[in-house]
Amino acid sequence: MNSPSLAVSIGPLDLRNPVLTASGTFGLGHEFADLVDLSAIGGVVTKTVTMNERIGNPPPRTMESAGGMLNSIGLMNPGWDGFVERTLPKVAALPCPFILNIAGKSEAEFVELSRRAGELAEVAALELNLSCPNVSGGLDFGRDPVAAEQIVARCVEASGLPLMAKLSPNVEDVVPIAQACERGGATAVSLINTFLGTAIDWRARKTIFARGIAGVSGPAIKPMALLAVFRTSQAISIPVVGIGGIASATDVLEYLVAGATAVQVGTACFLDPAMPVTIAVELRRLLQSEGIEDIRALIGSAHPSQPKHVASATPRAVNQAEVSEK
Amino acid sequence: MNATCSSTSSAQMRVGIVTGNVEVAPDCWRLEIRCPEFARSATPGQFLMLRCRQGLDPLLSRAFSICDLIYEGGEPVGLVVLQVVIGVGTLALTKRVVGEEIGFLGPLGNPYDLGTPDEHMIMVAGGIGAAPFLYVARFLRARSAEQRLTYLVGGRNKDFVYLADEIAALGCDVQIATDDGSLGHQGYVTQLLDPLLASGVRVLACGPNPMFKSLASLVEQKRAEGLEFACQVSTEESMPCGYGACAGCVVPLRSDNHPDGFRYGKSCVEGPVFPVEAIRWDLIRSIH
Repeated sequence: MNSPSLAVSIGPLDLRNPVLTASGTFGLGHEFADLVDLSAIGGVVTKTVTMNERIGNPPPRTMESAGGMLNSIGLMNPGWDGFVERTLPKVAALPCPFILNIAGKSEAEFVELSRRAGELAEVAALELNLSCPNVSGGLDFGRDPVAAEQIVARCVEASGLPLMAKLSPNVEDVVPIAQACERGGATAVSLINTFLGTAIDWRARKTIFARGIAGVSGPAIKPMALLAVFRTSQAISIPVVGIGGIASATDVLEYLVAGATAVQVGTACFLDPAMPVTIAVELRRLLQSEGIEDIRALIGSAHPSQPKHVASATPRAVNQAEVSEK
Repeated sequence: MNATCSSTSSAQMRVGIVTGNVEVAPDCWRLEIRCPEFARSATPGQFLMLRCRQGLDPLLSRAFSICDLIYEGGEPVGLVVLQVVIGVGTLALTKRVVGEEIGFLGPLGNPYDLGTPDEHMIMVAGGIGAAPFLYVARFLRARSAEQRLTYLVGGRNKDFVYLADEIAALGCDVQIATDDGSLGHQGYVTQLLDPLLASGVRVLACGPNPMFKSLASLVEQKRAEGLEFACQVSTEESMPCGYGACAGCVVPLRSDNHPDGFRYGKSCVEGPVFPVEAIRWDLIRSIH
């Protein structure tokens, strides 16, 4: 059989394969370019860039949990000027699409950041962080469908870029929020950001994190994230980018079958910066061994009735490959 | 495992072979790993991120100082990790068996600035913060047979005083402090340091934050009295990734360019070794 096709598209954004890095787990995208063969992955998504520099939250900022971790980083980033000065000059040389994740303190800031990003040839797409649990007000835009639709519409207009809206699972139902983003003109939705959690130091009788709350990520959240993708992708016509606990090619295929068009590898990057590459390489090998010629045939194939934009196909069963130490 | 031990990039996953794993003191284990490429590129004060077990449980790697190198025919071929069992990850590491593969990233981080052989080098260790100093002392002794080396080591009691004999064997003056007086001086290791401080000495320290805070105020006091000397600390912040991706292991660093006079720096890539005066110790919260 011919080498399988791994290419997918998120609207006008063509990806050589569906494996992206997740915001907040791969720096601003350029730091590890010498270390990792970025030509082997679909693209990088940056850590959130805000208008002004943010030094982030006081430590402790992370805590391991069973099958995952909690973080309360607080959107530490150099701000727009620092990004333009230090990161942007290195972006053009990246051998994969560069997706800029942004967050504003207000709708006006989101719009202004989008406008500025739209002027940069280096930026292939935007991801709006409508879902950060670790800053005050970070979740506000992702909880209300009306606010989400409006902010997406204005950022699409201001940037002219393909736009992904990254949503929070910490809502009663993520589906109406995703539908609102679709109405607003989003190219895709990224599901999901971290789940709210906390950690306690019982001897000290206090919470580990200064803010009391943190975001849970890692393999522990995969079943919930998969459900969000599975449900949402049946309710909207734009692509869903799956995020949550992805640490193997098998995980990627599960997300695609659940309805994701692409995925983001997050916490697993912390184990090994080459994790997204390892997963992409393994993904090709797995498709080949399963005789699947086009990865797009898998997208949404678990849906009772498949959405219109997805090609019909019945994939062979995918073995549960044991995740080996990489 | 597709990973290679022949990488030149420090944060690339390497695979070594466990060549020893024994309990050398209560709950303190000495883990030996064979990986010549790692050993050849390591420098004193650097660290590695170790996979505790095969698979994803526990999820995150654990950061360890390079405690020592293993030599064969004069060539470095492996490394030693000294680890104390404090949780699921370190417990899992004690189950590692000789002959099995073990994954890790490294060598990572900035090493100690070891200055010149004419300086009196004073190593200050608290608890398992002793770990980097066997390698430091071995490196310094290989550099100069004459350099004056002092190792000050503190622990809760005599069972928590590490590497005193090994470092003494390299021709270092060793002084011990224990909280309960069960070995050496009763009190803190910084009390041993006080009379040794003089202009031109170089202090390297590794230990818990309370020790660092006490060290920082001692250094400040001595410098105010007119002494001039370098003092570096190797921080022990918990590190989820070890290579600058997660921003979890930050320490507050002095900064004139920030409104509150500090910023958070990633200890994995900006450190783990910092000049003691670079850190805002007043902002460090000790949770233990």
